[in-house]
Amino acid sequence: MIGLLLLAGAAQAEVLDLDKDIYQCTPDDMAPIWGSAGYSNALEAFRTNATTWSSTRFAEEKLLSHTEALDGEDGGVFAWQFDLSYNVARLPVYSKDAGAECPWEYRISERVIDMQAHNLGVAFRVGRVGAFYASSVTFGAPAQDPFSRGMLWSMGAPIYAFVPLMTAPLTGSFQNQIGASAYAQEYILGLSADLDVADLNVGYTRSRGLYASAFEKRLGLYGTLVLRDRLSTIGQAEAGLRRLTIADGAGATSLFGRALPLTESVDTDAADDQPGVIQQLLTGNVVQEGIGGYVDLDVAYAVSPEPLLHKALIAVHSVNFLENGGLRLQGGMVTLPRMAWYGVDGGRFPSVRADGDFRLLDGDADVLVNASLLYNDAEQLALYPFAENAISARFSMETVW
Amino acid sequence: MMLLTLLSGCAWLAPVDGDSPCEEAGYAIARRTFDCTADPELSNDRHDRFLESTECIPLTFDESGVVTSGPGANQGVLAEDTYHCAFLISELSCEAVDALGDDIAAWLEVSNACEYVIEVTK
Repeated sequence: MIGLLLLAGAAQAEVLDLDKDIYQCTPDDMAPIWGSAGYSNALEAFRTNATTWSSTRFAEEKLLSHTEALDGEDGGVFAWQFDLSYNVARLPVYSKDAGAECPWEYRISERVIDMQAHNLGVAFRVGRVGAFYASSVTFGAPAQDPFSRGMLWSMGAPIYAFVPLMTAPLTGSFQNQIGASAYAQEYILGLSADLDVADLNVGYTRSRGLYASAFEKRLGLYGTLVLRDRLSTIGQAEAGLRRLTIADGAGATSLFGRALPLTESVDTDAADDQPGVIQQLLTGNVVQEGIGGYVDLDVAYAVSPEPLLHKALIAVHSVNFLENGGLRLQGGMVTLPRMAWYGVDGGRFPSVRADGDFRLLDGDADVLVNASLLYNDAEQLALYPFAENAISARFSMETVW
Repeated sequence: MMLLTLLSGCAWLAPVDGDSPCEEAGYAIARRTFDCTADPELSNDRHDRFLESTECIPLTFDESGVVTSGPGANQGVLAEDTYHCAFLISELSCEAVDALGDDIAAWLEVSNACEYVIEVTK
């Protein structure tokens, strides 16, 4: 591990002249430049990270997807997920000590923002009723040098997050921000019921948010609603048809509409007279999974804020990836509208995603392990429009019984 | 974890472009417009007006951080002070934003720092 860190540092040194000793330009000596788009974006990224990658989303993706499949049988799932995003925003900073140990040319510089989200949860069903719990710890900060960055994100953050994840019901929900760094923790408690024709799930988050979803079993109709900020804001809304098989070999068809908070202003002292502004990205989505067993198509057209082809992606994968796991590689393009208030010109971006999904099945307790690497992921760019060329890594593990 | 470690070697720090204080002022106009009006089209339009009616004066500074370019050259203005333009724009009240409207030159009168990095051409 240490060798890898040194290798990363050496690679960096080739790009940036080490004679300048930029390793002396530490975050401790720098201050973010208020009023810049980068500072505003960083604050917004932290808020989005805390709310979107919160317990509700994790519970839906990693817990309820399993309990909904139990169909009246007893069972449950325990899941853990770690998500790390590099270069989410670029923060202009000035270093008051530049010229001493830090090169004077770096008095004004841009430091990238990294963020992580860490989740832990459990869900179970006894007969037709069940419960679920999920917690989240999110953290974001300006990147340090490669060595410190590697130590923090690959070792420190995953370790320290476990305690607050497990004790969230005792320590509560809160968000804290100092300068351009932020920490937040949150949890959700919920109940689920299998009404034979449909599954219902309702959860309440400690930060006074609400999660509700329903999944109709015969056709696959479903709807999901997340309210946050004391039930005043739609954090996510989605409704449609999930994985309907029309013909053998054609794969499973999903059709749905989705609203995601594309942009959200961050209140400043001067803006107290105005609530934060939220603009929803409204999309119509068509997803065809498992064409011929090997190919997926994912297309979304944005209706708002301006009509455009939001994404067009194609993936090839191991046979019957949905059912059996394996390897999956996705590529295509993502389009975003111009958003000058973020310093974003908009346009088309290449998008690449690689997934490895491995399953240890023994009948009593199956273990599912997933690792993903994402570059300009469509959902990431929708949530963080200023995160051009951001790279994310995601790891999860689920034990299903 | 090995992957995370290697990704940590990606660029994390770079000097800013000389036009940065000027560009930030334009973005601040767009952002305050969006914050106060919730109108993305108006926000983008005002940024277009900013680009059409101004030219950026590239920022250069010496080893002490003193600005060496434009109207503020060698007057003791520090490099970071040139961002005061964007900062004060981003602090404008919504009443002020309404009053300034599409008059970009008026927006740029909020701080003396604006004239150090931005030249109004129209």
